[in-house]
Amino acid sequence: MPRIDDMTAFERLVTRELRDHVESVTDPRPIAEIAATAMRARRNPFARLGWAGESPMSLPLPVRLALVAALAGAVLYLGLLVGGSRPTQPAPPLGQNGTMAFPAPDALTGRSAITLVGGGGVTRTVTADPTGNASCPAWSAGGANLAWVQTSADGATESIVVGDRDGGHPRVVTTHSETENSGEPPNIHGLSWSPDGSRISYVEGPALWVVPVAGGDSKVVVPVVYGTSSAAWSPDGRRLAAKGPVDNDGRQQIGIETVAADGTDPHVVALMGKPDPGAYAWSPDGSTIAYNYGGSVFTVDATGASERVLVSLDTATSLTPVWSPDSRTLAFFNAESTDGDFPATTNLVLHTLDAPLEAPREIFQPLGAGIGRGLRDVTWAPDGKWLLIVGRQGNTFRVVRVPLAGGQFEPVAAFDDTTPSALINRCPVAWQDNRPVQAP
Amino acid sequence: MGIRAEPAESVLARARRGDAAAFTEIVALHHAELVRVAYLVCGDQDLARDAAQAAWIKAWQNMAGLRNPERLRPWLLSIAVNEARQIVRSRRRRPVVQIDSMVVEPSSAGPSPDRVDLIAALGHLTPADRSLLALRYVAGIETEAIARATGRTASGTRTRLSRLLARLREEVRDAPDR
Repeated sequence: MPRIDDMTAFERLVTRELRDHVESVTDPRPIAEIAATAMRARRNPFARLGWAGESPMSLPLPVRLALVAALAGAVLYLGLLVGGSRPTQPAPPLGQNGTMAFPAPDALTGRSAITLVGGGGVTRTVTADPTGNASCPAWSAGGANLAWVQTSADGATESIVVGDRDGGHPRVVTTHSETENSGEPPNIHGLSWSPDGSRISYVEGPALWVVPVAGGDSKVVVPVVYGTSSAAWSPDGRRLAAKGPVDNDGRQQIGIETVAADGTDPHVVALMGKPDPGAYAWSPDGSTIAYNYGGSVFTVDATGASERVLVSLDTATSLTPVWSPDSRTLAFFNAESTDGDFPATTNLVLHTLDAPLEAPREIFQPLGAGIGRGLRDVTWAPDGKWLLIVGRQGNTFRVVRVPLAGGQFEPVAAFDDTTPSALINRCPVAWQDNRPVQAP
Repeated sequence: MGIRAEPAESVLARARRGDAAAFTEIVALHHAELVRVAYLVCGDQDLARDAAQAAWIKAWQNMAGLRNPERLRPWLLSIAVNEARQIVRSRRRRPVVQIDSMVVEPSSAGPSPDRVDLIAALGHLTPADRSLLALRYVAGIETEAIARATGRTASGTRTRLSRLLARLREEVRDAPDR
């Protein structure tokens, strides 16, 4: 054994020993099966929710029943009342009607259906075809309608279905099929309602499409979008922002572009040196787009005329920067590193747009409130004076109210990580008269 | 005359366009290594295979954004260690498999004492630390490439690695004599 006082020799020892330790580990499955499993997973509606394990539908029926019962039990226990969506984001699974929507296995059919959880823990499952799978629910602004993706039992067709707020009166607004996709199974995702509820944008194949809800043909508005990005509608509903490969003097780069809702008048508003999962959001007044790239938060004029680095922290998380209701301030999370180690804590950072770059930012360290890392969601109160943040500590998600005028953080709610809110990383608390409330 | 291998760039380009055969080629080339690095993080062969499979799902879904073939291997490996970390975390919540202690599997020859020390010391590290060790010492990826693939700074990654090594060295040095 080399002298371990010598760091280089120790490094060599570590390399040799670790490689020996893992050398015999293999996977006996055929490569083709592994690759095919990965490619098939595009159609697993749970993968779209970030479900890390196997599809719940592949579990034995008693386990599926137990899973559904556990979810429902947790919901009833907490008596969830949900709400408080962001005004400029694609309609999230939390509707402004106080109901949460998420796909879950139906206890009877084993197929994925949309589960709706309202105030008081009332649940209802919705599907347009009990033999197929329902996924990707999206509320219209205000929560009057729910849209989702319905996949046929054989996976050969996928449709966007629109129903009432309880999923009733479902009707198909567009369908994509394997046949028209040159044999590739369709893969619709990233549904986003226009602010007036008249159109839905979505991603299918490489393209961003828009379909009128009242009836009419789908139209490609951006031929290729990056990864599984969904689009963001401008607050006036006239334009869409999407991330995808854009032309930069003959060179293809990832960028954010905006297009008119009919696909005309494209403008590149931001270029990125490399693909980045960072999100983007229109300001409520429609003048500015904020986006996260490489750990920095940028703002850009929505016409692409000017751009500036709002803050460069190198560690801003990829969560969408969240605009205050008055479009003046952005809230985002910043992972704070200590001693070059993994982030010890995550801070909530507020930066006001018209403040000079060197101006001190307001930084809130919620470690004392019991949620030092794993912050998941931030929501502004309608009056802009408070924020709700959701963070995780162990198996518990905690909701904390942050008074922006100063004062103590106030715990609002806590919920277990098996609840639907945890599943979608959203805040299970609604605003009422600018005060957070939770159902009794 | 040998068969001319298709340039990596071309295979990646085809896979990015959704070509199943090209993607399968990439899986064939990298899967074994993904399983090995995942194993170092989670310490369980079945979980390591699950992590590698989950990594391929993410890779297939996000391949459109990857253009540089040189980045492919670090990218895939970093996804695999992340998946392994997630699995470790989720299993901690539902203690189905005990992965906290890294069990040394017996071999016919039996491990050397210093190996036992080192592998036992791994069990005292966090999954995140083991991920870094897997990328650097099992996969042999340069610090800069690890930093790029994990979205961290090169200097921070170097510092962390050096502290990890120092900690491991202390653990091995302090291990009781057998």
